[in-house]
Amino acid sequence: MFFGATLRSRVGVQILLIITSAIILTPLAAAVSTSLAGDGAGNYAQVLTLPQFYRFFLNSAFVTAVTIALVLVIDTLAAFAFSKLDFRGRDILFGLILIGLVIPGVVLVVPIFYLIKSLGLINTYWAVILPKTALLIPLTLLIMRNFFNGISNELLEAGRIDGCSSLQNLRLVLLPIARPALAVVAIITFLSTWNETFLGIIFLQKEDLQLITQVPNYFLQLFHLQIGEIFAALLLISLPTIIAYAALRKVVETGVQAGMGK
Amino acid sequence: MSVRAGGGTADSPGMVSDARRGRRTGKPGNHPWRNLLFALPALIAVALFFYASIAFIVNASLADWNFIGAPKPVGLGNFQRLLVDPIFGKAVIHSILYGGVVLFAQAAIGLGLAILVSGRVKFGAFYKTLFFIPVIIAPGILAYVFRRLFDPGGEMSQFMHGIGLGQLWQPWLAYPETALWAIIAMGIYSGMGGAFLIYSAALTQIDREILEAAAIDGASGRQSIRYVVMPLLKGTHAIFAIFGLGAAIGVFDIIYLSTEGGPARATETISTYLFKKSIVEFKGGYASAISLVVLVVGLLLTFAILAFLRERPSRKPKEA
Repeated sequence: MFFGATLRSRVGVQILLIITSAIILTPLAAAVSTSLAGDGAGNYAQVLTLPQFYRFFLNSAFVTAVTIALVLVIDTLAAFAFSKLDFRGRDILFGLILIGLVIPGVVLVVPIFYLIKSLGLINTYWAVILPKTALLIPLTLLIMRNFFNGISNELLEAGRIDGCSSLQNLRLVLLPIARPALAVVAIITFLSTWNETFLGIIFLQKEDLQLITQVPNYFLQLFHLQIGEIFAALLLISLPTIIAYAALRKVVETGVQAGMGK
Repeated sequence: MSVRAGGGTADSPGMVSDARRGRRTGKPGNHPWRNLLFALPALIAVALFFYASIAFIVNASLADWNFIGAPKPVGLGNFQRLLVDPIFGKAVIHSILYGGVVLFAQAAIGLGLAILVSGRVKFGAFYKTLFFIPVIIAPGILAYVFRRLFDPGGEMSQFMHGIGLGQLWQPWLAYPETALWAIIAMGIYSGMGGAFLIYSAALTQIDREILEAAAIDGASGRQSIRYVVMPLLKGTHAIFAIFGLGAAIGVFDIIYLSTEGGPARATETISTYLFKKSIVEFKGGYASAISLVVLVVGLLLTFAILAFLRERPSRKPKEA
């Protein structure tokens, strides 16, 4: 957009981009080469024969799936209310939720730890799911509400005239249009939950329950695996997020624009 | 217009009047409390995890409390100890240094890359995907990768020795003088894709016509960036600064899993110290005092950023 189409400027841009790419790829290449140390591809086979690896994988998959479902349901209902319905204190309440955007989760560690402990949820999946869901709501709700704001009110009026209740209007009129926003919120929640480390370290000490991000430590301590096998595990863990992102990059970019904008 | 047309096809007049009322109140039947119900799950979650938590922190910060027994009131004792706690002082300085350098570098790199790929660039889709990959890899995993990278016996070290630059490659994470800078490099690496994404989104929202007009007026690409794009990005800088501030305060995984705050507390930051005081040592009251101070300072900085934005509104047209 800012550089001419001359050969010189195009080559200059490419050189800068290639240097940056090389810097980004270096640690990743080092990780791949480490994962092949010793047994080569056999390291991957070794990791894939460990039943614990699948256990961790399923734990993370379950926690992530439930968190995505909760965030989507809570956000959809709330975005509908804050964008399309009227009630007393609506804007003030939305403002109070948005303040959550600038509160770093780490400063809430004491009360969250106490709450989860008091509810007897330590060493359960809920110890990760509940705080994760709540902490993601301000950001994801903002994205969703911005998207709902962009949907014409006249569509809802038409639905109403056809006899839709609020809930039917949401389900039959808004949701089909809002699919891109739902996708963005689902992707953000997926990345954030799949990569969650802090809550896992705090709340999941039982090996059967641990998340995939706790794999390296667990393997280091209990199996005395070689560094190659550990890195094979690290790369296998990262694969789902990289594939998901590469496939859905356009959706994420649109979502960031919608979340920032208007 | 469509309302009227729809009204004509409705079976009962009652619905039309519902719709008319709906236009005024935003809802047929005007049930303000029923409407609130839709927002209730979100409100409860935020009230419980944010607002009740903050109230809890305020309360606990005034007591000596180990998460189990009854809290013993100590007034402002926790805050007095905090003021003279040398490790907390270190952690604050490290967090400020980390946050300042990482945020500035991420913004500069992210914006630069966004500008580079903003036009029609060969392999643009490849670069856009690659730049974001460090963000989507779990920081906990990146920490292990970097640990290996800085390992004197690791591949990177061997490679650098192999090309005769071994002197340049040291176990930076292991030296107290350099460990924080190694962490800062990791922080820049893991988050610059986020800045890239935000600035890319902002650039696509800039009206093409403004840039075309600048080009017609004879502005070079560099001048367009300097005089047209930069003034329009003030809001984006603020969004990035506000989110980045939270991320900088909250950074935990890459530090704890690579150095645990060491060596010799050289990489102790607010979040690692908070983790140790609360989860490791169970000093609930003292940890709450730390949380409260960090929370208040963080909010003040956020409001300062917002006020700065409002004071100097983004670009005004030069001619009347």
